[in-house]
Amino acid sequence: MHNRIKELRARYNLTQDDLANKVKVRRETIVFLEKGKYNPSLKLAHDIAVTFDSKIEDVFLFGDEIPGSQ
Amino acid sequence: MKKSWLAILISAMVLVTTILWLMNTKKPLSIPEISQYGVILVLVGLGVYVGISRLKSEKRGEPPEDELSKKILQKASSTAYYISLYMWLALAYMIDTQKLETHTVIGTGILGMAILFAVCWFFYKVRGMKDA
Repeated sequence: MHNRIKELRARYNLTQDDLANKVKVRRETIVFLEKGKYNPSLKLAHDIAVTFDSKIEDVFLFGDEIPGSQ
Repeated sequence: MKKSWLAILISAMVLVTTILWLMNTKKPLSIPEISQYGVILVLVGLGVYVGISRLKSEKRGEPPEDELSKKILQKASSTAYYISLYMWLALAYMIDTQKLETHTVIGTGILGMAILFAVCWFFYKVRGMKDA
């Protein structure tokens, strides 16, 4: 699974701390998510998507949706 | 806040008990005993580190634990338990072959389980939980 958290965070001008506070997790969790070392729960994925005014599938990309896969 | 202080408090209690144990030991320490004290000190250090990092997180306004830290804890516990079954099997084998005393085996087993948990926790903390 790939995600666009880093890109969206930059677009919304949020630091990792800001995003962590908004979705009520530790900053470490955001670091792990951005590095692709953690697949979040559905609730956390939803909360992150809501923070970026997006849908879950716009933030988290699966399989053949990942650019450069295939 | 309570959980953070609990980790530090338990570590302090273990440290005090170890020091009392050390002070009441009359005969000189053997190499296995010195290594046991070393392992206890490492585990106490880990406990203090966990407690302090939780307190720092709370000061920053972060939750002391979230879904990732809970998953790391669960995964580390289950992996350590699974591996420790083999460790106990090896210790049971060594009772016969090495003629070890029961209290030595139990002490080594308990410390071994604690080390396994610490190693597993650190491993998942660095590697992440991609497959969870």
